[in-house]
Amino acid sequence: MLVASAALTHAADVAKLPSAANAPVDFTRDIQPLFAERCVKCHGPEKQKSDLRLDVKAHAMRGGDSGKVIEPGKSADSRLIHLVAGIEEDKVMPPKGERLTAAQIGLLRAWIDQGAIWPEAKPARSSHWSLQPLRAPAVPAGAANPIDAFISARLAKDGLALSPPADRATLIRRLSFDLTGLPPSPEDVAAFVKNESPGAYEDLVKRLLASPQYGERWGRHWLDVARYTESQGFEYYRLRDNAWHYRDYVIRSFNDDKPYDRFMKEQIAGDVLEPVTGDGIVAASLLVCGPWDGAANIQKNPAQRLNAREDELEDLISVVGQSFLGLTVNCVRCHSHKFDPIPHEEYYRIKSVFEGVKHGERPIEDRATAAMRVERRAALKKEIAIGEGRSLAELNRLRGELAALEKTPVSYAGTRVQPEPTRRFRRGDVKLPDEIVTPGALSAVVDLNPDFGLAADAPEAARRLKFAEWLADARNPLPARVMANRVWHLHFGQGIVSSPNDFGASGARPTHPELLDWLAVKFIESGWSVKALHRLIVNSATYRQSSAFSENAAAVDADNQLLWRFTPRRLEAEAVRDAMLAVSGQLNPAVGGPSFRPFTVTEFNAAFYHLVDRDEPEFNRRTVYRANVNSGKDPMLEAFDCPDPSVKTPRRGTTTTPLQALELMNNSFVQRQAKYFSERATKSAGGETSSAIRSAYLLALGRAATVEETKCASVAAKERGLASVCWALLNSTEFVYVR
Amino acid sequence: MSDRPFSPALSRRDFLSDAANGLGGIALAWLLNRDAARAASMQAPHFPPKAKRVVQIFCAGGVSHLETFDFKPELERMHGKTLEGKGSENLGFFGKPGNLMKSAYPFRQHGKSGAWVSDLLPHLAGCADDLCFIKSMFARSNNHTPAAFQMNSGFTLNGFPCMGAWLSYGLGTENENLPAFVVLPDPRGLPAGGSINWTSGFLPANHQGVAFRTQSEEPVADLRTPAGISAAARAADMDLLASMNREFADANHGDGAFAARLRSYELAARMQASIPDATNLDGESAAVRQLYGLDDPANKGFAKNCLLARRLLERGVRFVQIMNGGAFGSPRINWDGHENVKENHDTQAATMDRPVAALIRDLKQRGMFEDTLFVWSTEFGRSPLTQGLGSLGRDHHPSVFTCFLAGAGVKGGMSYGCSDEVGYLVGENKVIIPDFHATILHLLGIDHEKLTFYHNGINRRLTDVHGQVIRDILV
Repeated sequence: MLVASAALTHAADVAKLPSAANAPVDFTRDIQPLFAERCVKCHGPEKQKSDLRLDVKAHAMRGGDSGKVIEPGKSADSRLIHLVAGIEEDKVMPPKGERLTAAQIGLLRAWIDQGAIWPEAKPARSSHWSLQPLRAPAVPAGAANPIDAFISARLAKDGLALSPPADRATLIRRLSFDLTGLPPSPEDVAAFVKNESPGAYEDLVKRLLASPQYGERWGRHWLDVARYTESQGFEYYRLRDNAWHYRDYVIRSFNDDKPYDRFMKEQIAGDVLEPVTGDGIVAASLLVCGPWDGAANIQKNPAQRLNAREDELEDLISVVGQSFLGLTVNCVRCHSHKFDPIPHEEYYRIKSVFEGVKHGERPIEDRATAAMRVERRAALKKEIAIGEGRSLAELNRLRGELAALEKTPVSYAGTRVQPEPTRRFRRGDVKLPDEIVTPGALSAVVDLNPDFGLAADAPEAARRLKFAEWLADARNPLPARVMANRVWHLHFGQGIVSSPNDFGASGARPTHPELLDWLAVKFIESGWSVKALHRLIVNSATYRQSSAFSENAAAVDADNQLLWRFTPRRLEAEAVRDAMLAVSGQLNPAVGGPSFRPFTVTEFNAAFYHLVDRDEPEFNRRTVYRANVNSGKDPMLEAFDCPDPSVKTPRRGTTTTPLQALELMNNSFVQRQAKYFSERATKSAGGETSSAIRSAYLLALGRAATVEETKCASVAAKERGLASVCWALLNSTEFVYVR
Repeated sequence: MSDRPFSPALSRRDFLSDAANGLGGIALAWLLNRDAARAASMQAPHFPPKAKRVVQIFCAGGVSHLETFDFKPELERMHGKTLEGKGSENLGFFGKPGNLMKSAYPFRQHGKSGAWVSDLLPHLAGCADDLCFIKSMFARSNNHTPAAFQMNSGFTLNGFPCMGAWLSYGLGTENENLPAFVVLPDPRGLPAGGSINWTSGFLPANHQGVAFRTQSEEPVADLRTPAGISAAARAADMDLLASMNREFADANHGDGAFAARLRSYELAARMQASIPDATNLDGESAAVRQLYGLDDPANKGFAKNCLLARRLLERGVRFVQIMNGGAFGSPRINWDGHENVKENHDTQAATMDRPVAALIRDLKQRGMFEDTLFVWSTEFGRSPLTQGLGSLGRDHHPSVFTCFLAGAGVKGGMSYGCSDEVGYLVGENKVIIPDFHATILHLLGIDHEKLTFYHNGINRRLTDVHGQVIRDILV
């Protein structure tokens, strides 16, 4: 239709067009300012009316909803000229304000006739802080530890200073929960309090970081970011029996202090990163461990099916963008980013990287293991077939081994297809496919080439490998900043950047930008060692300071953004539950493997979950091993702000509610642990009440009861049994908080 | 406030969303002490509300507009014919569009307004002058769970806060002894997606819907003091705990969260009494029981939930959602009439019609209809075509369907928007779900563009980037 109208216009009205200017036209001098002043308000970063932009070369040349608007060399055929000249009376651009003058139109015509030369913009570095190259800033003078130097310097600007160190009993409790998610044993507390050697604290840090519980704690933090879920969500809502491999991979990676650049690469492309390992295949589960709409994928309406697939890919792109880059690339599905320098087509370039990733289970054996299994299986078959001279028991053992080898281990790691070339969807609408894009990354990271040199039909594995390389390149300033901030945020309960998944313009600014860069640089220098980052942070005086409140400091900085004290923190849901098990002596330390399921599942077209609570060792494992499902959640964990698994959660909420109180008051698990706890305390005290109370306080709070507390608790214990005191301790504010 | 990123660019927006933190929410009480001046200036409502509370009936499975409120004489004339010239968008979920099929029920005009309602719903027909039908609803998905998610949260995806959670966040509660957002699941089963349908998503967990176990002795999990602990012993235990927590709060003054924790136990103890009081129907008169049809087995326990809803609304619960119908599939326990729409809708209407009409009447006779917003909703409509040639069933149909609003601030006895001549596409005044939500928020005094919460780069809203208040239906 447009073509027809253009042709008609051409025939009838071309003579009416103002004539082209005679002089040579320079885009930057003559045209760009005109676009900027009269067009870009509606056809630029803020709005893209008719899906047209006149501030980005590629987009302007591509045109808008009704096709091309600039025909280089042919101004009389260019819709842009028709519109500004007002050839069709009801369609004049700009629609408001004065019309363009004949001279201005003449310039536009001349520019188009001379070839519409629009110099390639040099990839200009955005001025946004997080996109600046990383370099180690100068450390302020005045403190031995650079972290303390940065923090003190900033505090001093507001007339504040660090608080004195916390006492040792407080410190070991803080550090134990922080690094392992569990309370210290009374013996550990006593030993640490007594140990006056200068390296005692550093040794404690080393010991805790080396414990397997460290990975369970910090792995769980990563699973929040990864939106790790063990059920489908949506309609059918089924359990994913084999998703737990990824949880174990994450825990193992933290315990092994896997270099973070490797950790990133594996989660993007571990299944194709040579030499391919089982671990690598499992790692890439990140791409698919979120919710999945099984019903939409089988339905018969093609547009709805396509939309569901686009939703899936948006979920994938958002987890990659937010977790590693701290950029909300997902916002670009429908339009160029409103706040950050991410053009629309780059969403589709990244989509092209991941277009071959599909939901589902796959074998997770690497080639060598698979070959060994096949070989052994053949050997066993032979042995069994011969059978001679073997006892029945022996044959049965061989048959058992064979049966086990018949099954290939699988995990919910996603399957792969070679996709069709990716097209940009105008306005994100699957019904408006536009140009083909090639796999690539973000041009906003100007020190790296966003173009992978891959064709639109490049093998899907090559695309992810390239993306992984781009991501983990040390010249990419985002991943190290983002991860250093995550670690800081989890140690202090607040990030240097308080929006850990959003380092873009609508996210928060860093409270201590130099410190963040210093941490990020050290992180890379250490070979991306997360444990080295922990050591840097927790060994600082900033971390070790007391949590005592100060009216004066609070008057200046009520939220403690500047860290004049250690902010007291409510334990996360998992830590509350695990601490109860630790204190009661019931914690089952079994590591890894299939999740425990304190629910039964019934199928009525979809899966439904019914909670069960049994006093069994399996159910007394750490909470990170509980099946992380969308429904069938534990009401106690939920009340303590355990997030919906489908939500990418870089920071958890901390609410205080009556429902939370009801859980701790009446939940059968809490009742049971209070009973075991009292039995344990009684036993260790040899039956004597006041020493049982002493033991109970040491176990639950890491400190002895005061005289007054002992008196109060003794009365209660005599009247109603020690379990009453233990119940109160498990409910107490002091128990669920670290200071 | 610890949730605010340290950013000048953000503080204004976040300021507004903090404002919306329910004032009744005790979690905020201590924050308010610290930021009283700041917080007090920005709380919702943004302007004087018409409605103080909301009750939403949600009919799972997809109620046919053609069998209930959308009278289409042309469809009767076209019965058995093929549908031409309407595009190929609406294949339904199973992709087997058959021929046009007239409504399974005769329609009649009712009340002074003369609203057309089918014979399927005689009781609701009697309320016609109170109802404002929106006959041009449009849903994004033709698939149960995403459609249910969209009606409840505005998004077709997992993990977005539901409307009740937004209202709890925006307005808080009127009675801190009860949850602000209560869900009453159908006794026959949960809708597909289960608790995702009342999630608080990325909002703080205290705004999550509390699903009452209306068939259980204990309506809320872990509400009751465990058997074997006497009231006196529990009271003494609570005293011991309170003294521990008070001492700790005193020793660590300046941390309001510690005071909030003390208070949360007082409220919990009060909830232990107030929830059973709210759910105990013993004091309801015979006339009321009769009105709802409480003893009629045909409603399969649904009437009890409607009556319960009234009791909760009376006691200041902000948002009560009553689920009518459970998960999709066979045997059908919801409105998903794929095989035979008449057989299916007969059974479902027998559960829904009388109790819902009774709730409207009951609210009216108690003078609560003026400040209670009544919302009747479903996932999507059903196709005017049969599902496959010769079938008596109808497939899912999101392209046009009917919902109604009633009560506070809404014109009764009117219809807004319409479908085309056969009820296949929107005829005029298309209402997308965000428009529906924006209107509900508006009636509660909330500007839907200002009720926001920052999450991963976006100031999220119930209405995403859409939503126009339907002004024509406002009183």
